[in-house]
Amino acid sequence: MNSQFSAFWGATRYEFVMQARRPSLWITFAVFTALLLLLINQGTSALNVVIPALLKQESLHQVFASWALYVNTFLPICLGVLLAGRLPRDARTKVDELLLAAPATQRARLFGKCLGATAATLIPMLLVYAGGIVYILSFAHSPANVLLAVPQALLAFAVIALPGVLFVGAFSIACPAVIWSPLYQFLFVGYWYWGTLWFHADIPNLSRTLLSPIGLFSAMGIYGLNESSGGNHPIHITGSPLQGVASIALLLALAVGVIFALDGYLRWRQVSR
Amino acid sequence: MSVSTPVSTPASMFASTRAELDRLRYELQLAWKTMLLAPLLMTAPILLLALLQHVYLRQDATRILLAGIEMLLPMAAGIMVATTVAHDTQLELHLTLLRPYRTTSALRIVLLTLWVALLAWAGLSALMLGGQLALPTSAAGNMPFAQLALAQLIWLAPLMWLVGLGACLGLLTQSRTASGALLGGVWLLDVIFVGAIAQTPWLRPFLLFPSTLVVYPLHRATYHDFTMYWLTTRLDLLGMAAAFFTLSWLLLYGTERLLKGASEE
Repeated sequence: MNSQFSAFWGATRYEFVMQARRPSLWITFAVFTALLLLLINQGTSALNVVIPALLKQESLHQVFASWALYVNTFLPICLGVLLAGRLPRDARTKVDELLLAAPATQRARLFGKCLGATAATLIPMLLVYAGGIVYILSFAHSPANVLLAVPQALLAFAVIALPGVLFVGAFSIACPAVIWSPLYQFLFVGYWYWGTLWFHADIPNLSRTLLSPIGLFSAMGIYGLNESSGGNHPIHITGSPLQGVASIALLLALAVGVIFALDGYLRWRQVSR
Repeated sequence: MSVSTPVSTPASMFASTRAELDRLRYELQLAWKTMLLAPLLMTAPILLLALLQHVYLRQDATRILLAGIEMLLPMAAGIMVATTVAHDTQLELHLTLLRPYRTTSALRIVLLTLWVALLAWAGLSALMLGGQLALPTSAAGNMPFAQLALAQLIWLAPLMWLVGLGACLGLLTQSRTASGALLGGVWLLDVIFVGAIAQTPWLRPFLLFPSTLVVYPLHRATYHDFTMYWLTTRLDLLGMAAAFFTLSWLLLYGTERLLKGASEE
C-alpha cells in the first residue's frame, strides 16, 4: 500500500514538473488570456464597468464567485486540450511498456499522471484568477476586505472551478487512449460550446444540468449568484445549495470513475494484444 | 569556363511528373484513412444534432447544417493541420533526403484542405440546390450559378484562414497540444464574442462565421449588412490566410527548429 502511494506521489510530482516546465503551456495561456481580455473589454461588458457594478449589488465573496465562474467558463478550453497530449506521449516515447515492468501499479501511475499534469496546467489559470482578484480588490477599498480576501478567493475557486477542472483533466487524460488526439481536441472544443455555453433550449444540451463543468450550480446554489450576475447575458437558471453539492460530487465521482475506466481499458488492451 | 545547365526534355519532364504522382499516391496510401475519416467523424455530432432537430423536434435544421459547413469543417481541417504540420515520425530521416520536408508538409496540407473543401462544397451546394439557402438577390442577382459560386465563400474563407493559422501555430509553437488549444480557443472566442467582433470596426475582419451567427438567414440581409459583415470580411480573411501560408512556408525552412520541437514535446 505504501509503495503504491509512493508510486502515485512520484508520478504526481514528475508529471507536475514535466508539464509546468513546458513553454507551450505558458504561451498558450498567455495568448488565450490576452485575446479574452481584449474581447471582454469591448463595449459594455468591459471589466472596469462590470466589476464596480457587481460590487454595488453583491457581497465581495459573491463577486469572487462570479469571477471564478467567468474564468472557469473560458480557460478550461486550454486546460483540456493541453492535457490531451499527456497519455499519447507515453506511447510515442515508448515508455508505456517500460513502466509496466515497474513494481508500481498502472492505476497509481494514472492517478498520479492525472493529478500532477492537471495541477501544473491549473497554475496559469490560477494566476489569471488571482490577477482578477487583485483587480476586484482595487475597487474594494476597505483593508479588512483585503485581509479576508485570500481565503475567500481560494474557497470560491475550489468550490466553483476545481471540480470542473478535475473532471475535464480526467477526461482529457483518458479519452485520447481511445480516440485520435486531434479528434479529441476538436470534439472537446465542440463539447465545451454545446455542453457548457449553449443556454438556448432549442437544441438538447448539458449546459443546464448538474454535469455542467463550469460550476454553474455551485455558483448559483452555494454562492447564491442570480441572474444579475450574468450582466448583459443573464443565465435564467437557479440552483439550491443541495444541487450545488450534488454537482460537485457528481463531477468528482465522474473524474475518479474515468481514471478507473481508463485503467481497465488499458489492462484489457494489454491482454488482448 | 562554361557551366552546363540541365535541359528539360519531354522524357525528363515525364519522369518528374510521374515521380510527383507517385509521391501523391504514397501520401494518400500513408494516411488516407485518417485524412478521409477524421473530418467525417468530426462533423458526425452536428449531423446527429441536425437529424434530432429535424426528425424528433420537427424544427428547421438548416442553420445547424450551415454551422457544420461554415464553422466545424474549417475548424476540423485547422486542428488536423495544426497537429500534423510540424510532426512526422520519420522527420529525421526525411530531413536527410533530397526532397525538402516543406514540400511534403505542403502537399499534406493541400490534400487535407482539398478533401475538406470537397465536403463543404458538396454540403453547401446540396443546401442551396434544395432551396434551403440563398444569397440576397441584391448581391448576386437571380442567376443560380453566380449565387452558387459566390456562396462558396461561406466555407472557403474560414477554411483557408483556420488552415493557415493552424499551420502557423503548429510551426511556431512546435507543439500539437498548444497549437490545438490556441486554435480551439480562437474558434470559441470568435463564436462567443461574435457581437463585439461584428460591432467593432477594427475587429470585424476577424469575423469568421457571419453566415450562421450574424446575417442568418443570408437572403434576408440588406445589401449594406451583406457587404459589411459578409463580403468584405470574407475577402479580409482570404488576404490574411495568404499571409499565414506565406509565413508557414518560410517557417518550414527552419529544419533545426522542427527537430527541436519533435524532441521537446
